[in-house]
Amino acid sequence: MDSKTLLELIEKNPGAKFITVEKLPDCTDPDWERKKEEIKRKYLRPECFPPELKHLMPKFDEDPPAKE
Amino acid sequence: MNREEYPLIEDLTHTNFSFFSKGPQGVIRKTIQFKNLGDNVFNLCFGDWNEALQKIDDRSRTNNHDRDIVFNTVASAVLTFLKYFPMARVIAQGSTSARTRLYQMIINANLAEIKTLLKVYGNQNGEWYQMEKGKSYDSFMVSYTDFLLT
Repeated sequence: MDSKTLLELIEKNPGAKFITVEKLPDCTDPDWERKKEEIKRKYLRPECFPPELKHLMPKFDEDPPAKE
Repeated sequence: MNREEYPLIEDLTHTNFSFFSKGPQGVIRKTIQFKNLGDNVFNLCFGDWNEALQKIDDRSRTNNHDRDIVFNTVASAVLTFLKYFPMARVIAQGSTSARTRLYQMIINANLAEIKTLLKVYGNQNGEWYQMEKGKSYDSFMVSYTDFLLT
C-alpha cells in the first residue's frame, strides 16, 4: 500500500488510534540474513545470559532444520 | 500510556506498522517492523519508509521536532505487537552509537512507566542485565512478563 493511500485512510478515519489494513509491504533488506546472524552472535549466545536471565535465552537449535 | 501519539496503521500479520510524522520537514512515513530471529525473538527495525526502494532507511534524520510523539507511537506499536505475540522478546539497537544513546535517553526518561508494563533489559559488552538508569547499554530488550517465559 503506497503512502498516499495510507494518508487518505487516516484522513477518512479522524481520531482513530489504530487502522488495520490487509498487508503493508515487507522490508526487503538484502542484507537481512547477515544482520540477523550478527545480532544472534552479538546478543543471543548462551554466554550473553547470566543465570538469573537464562529463561530469556533463545533455543535456536530447536528451530526446525531447513529443508534441502 | 495516555500520551500524544500518531495514528498507527498495522497489517494483519501484526508485525508491520506505519505512521506519519508531521512537522517542519513535512509529512514523513515511518515504518516499524518486527523481524523474526527465531524462537520468539524479534528485532525491531524502525526508520523512514523509502517509497522508491520499498525499504526502511534506519539512518535518516527527520528533524520534525516530534521526538516524543514518535517514541510514544513506537512504544504503542511494541505493546500492540506483544499483545499478539505475548511470548516474544523484542531487541532494539540504534543504527549508530549516537542513535543508540538517543534511544537510551528516551527509554531512561520513561523507564518507570515502561517497567509497569514490560520487563526491560540492557546489553553491556555482550551480556544482558535488568536495565537501570544511569548505566550505558549497547542494545535493549523488552518482554511482556517474565513468568510467561518460565
